[in-house]
Amino acid sequence: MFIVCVAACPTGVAHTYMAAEALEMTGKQRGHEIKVETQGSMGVENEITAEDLARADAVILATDVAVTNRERFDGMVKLECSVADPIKFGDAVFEAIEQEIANG
Amino acid sequence: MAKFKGGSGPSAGTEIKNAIMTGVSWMLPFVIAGAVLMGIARIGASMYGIDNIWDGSHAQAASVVVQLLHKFDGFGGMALSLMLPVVAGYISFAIANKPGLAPGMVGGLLASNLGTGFLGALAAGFVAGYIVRALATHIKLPKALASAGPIFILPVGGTLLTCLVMAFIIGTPLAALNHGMESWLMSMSGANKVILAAVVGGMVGFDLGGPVNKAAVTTAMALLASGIYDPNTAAQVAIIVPPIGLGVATLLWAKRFPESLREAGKASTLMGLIGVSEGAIPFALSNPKIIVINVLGSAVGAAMAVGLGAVNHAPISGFYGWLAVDNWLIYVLSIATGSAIIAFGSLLVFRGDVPNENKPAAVAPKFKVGR
Repeated sequence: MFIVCVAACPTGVAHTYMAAEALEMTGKQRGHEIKVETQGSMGVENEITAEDLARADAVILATDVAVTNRERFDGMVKLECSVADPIKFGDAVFEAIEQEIANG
Repeated sequence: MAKFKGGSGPSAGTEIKNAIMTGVSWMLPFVIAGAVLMGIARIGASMYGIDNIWDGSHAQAASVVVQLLHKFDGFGGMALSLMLPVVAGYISFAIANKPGLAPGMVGGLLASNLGTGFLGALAAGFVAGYIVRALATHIKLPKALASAGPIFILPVGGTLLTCLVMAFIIGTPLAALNHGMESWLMSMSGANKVILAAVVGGMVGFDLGGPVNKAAVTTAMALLASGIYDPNTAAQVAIIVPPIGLGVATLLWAKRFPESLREAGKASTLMGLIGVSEGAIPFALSNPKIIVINVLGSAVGAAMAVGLGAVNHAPISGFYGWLAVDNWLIYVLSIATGSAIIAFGSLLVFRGDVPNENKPAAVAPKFKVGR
């Protein structure tokens, strides 16, 4: 499955990128295609494009701050969690969203 | 894993926390830019024996350098003056998205004019955010007029209502509260000051970048704008003490630590030197008992710095800010003392022979999933 993710933390230098790495690693281990957009102190990097959105099965928002351009994800299967959750509980995050995708 | 269907937004508590964090996140660059420029001006001026570089008379100083330093102080002040509008604007943005920004910023500017300080700016952000969100959901326009909402009604109505609420309802009590708090903090001396510093330091060391840490650091930074420096000094010392202390411990007594933490220790030392508390997180995850040591070391370091008269005017904890601190020798010594407490304390927690596999797996929280 193709899951897009956004990671963002208040300072935007440490947790954002740790979460992005965790999402990417855990997701690939579980056989998904993953794209993580980071909204850190450098602004939006690795932006999720319209084509990505058209293809994506679900979105994970791992953020402790407001997400820029959140409307993009309206109507998608969505999991919202703290930026630290993918780092600490990577598999649980993906289990939850896999189940939601399966349930439609 | 329980399912959470429906319910569009996160819970109220999370929303409020996220909104404040969003505001602070956008505000930080302004505070850092402003405080550092003013810091440069003050340090430079002290070399000329001037201790009031912000005074207008220095604009006509004989020395070009002094004139320039006076200008620097002005630039820094401008950056700081945007602090309250930006924090209020982005709190409102977090709640009401794009239409929230303008009413929030204007509300924050009003808060600063009313003398309500950081507290007032937080309030202005929430007032603006919830007003704009309410307007956006409750005002239903016919299709032909739909674009009038975001382009006219939300900015005008949101700003006007926010300002009215700020000016006539919550402005006065908040200003009183703010002045009360400021004069209480200013009048603190001796033992009270040291206790306050220890409490701030302990909070900062407790969860290393988590909510308790951010609450303490944010409050301390906010007080900078009012010219109250002790909480900031305490916080900035406490931020770097745990990662440096633990990092140095892994370098000195590598055998005591499991393999993974030896690597983490090198990163932790570096992160500590540039002022990132999070470097110490792997240690706390591996053995939570270290948190007690972290709190102790951070509290002692912070209390020592403030008690002995070090003053950090800038929200910078990294080594590049150390020389800008009044009494920097004491400041660095306090950091060293706090770090040493943590380094030696860590030997009680990490004994080298205990495998860290026996820690109970943390229970994952329930996640909010839905459309």
